[in-house]
Amino acid sequence: MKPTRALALALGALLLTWVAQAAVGYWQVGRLEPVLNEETNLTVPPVPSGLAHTGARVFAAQGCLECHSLSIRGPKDSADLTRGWGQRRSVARDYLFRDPAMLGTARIGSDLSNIGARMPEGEKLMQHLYDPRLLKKTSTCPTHPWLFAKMAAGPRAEPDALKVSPDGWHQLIPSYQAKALVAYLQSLNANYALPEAPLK
Amino acid sequence: MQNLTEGRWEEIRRNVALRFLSVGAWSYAVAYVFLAYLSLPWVRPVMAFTVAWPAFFEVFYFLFLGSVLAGSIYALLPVAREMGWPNSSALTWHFWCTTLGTATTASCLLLAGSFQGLALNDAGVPVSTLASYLRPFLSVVIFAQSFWLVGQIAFTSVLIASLLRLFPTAAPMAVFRNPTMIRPVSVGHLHG
Repeated sequence: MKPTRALALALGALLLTWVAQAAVGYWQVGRLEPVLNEETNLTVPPVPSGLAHTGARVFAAQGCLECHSLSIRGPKDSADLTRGWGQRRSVARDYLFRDPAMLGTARIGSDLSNIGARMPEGEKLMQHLYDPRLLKKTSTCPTHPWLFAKMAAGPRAEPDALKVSPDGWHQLIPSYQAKALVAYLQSLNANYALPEAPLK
Repeated sequence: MQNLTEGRWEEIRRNVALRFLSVGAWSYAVAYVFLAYLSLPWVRPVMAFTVAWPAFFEVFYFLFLGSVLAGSIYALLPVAREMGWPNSSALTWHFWCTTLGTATTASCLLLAGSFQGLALNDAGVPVSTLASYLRPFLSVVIFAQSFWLVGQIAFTSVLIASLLRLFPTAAPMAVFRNPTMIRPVSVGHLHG
């Protein structure tokens, strides 16, 4: 093969790869915009708060993605909806304001795309972060005690202290990271319909 | 591939660089057959979000790229640094520990991923039991990774020793020991 022909073939292969991955990808999802929910008169997907945005970083830094995905599949060829993880499948529009868009790679725990709707109480999420076995004995999720300050319990509990105590003598005060992580988890609420993914 | 290697097995078997490059070439083919398998329409929904995907990366990064990198170092470093490789058992340790360690890891992850995927797609299986399905396989993976690490330590040792010229080198190209070449040396032979 002549060198010029080999070079042209290599450049053609690179161009084809770019078209397939970048150009077609942009054409498919690059121009997506939020849509108006006529019931609530709000646009969806909702824009997460600044604290939730910080919490997404904490979520990534704590390695939660090693076991939890953020993408619901189905209803065909998947039991995600049957398990009650969400009311509809996840679509590209759900990730418009998720920067970076984290889908996860493995599932050893449940999918968290809709955890904000499934477990909206901040106290429960905090307790799960401190020790998942407090809420579910069979949970295999690791504990995250470093997200909480352990302080001696005074005559009055701190306003944001958890309602559980590790030993009765101490109270657990969530750190800024724990609060941001819980805000992020609460923001993961996909109970709204999209044109391409209606609620089941 | 068959044409390239036909009639050259003895050379490939003896020469460390060729052996690593040969493993690299085969694992490249295996990695992409594996990727095609994972992308099949009836396999993809089962294997998504399972440890079968890390199995592909294990084959691609560690078996293909790792072997090609090791083979290249064994072939190019003597030319670049005017040095030789020792006829050391560390070469054998490097080859077998890294290759078997990575292959075992990938096989276990693929098996574990299959069970994980089938369990995930069965709504009757609680998520909290998934870890118990994976645990035996991941225990073997830890053992296989330790094996891989032993191979890497052997390689690092022989590389540093060769760069520092700590022992006399046997050949400009690294070769495995050939037992048939080792013969007892008689005193009479030494005195001529």
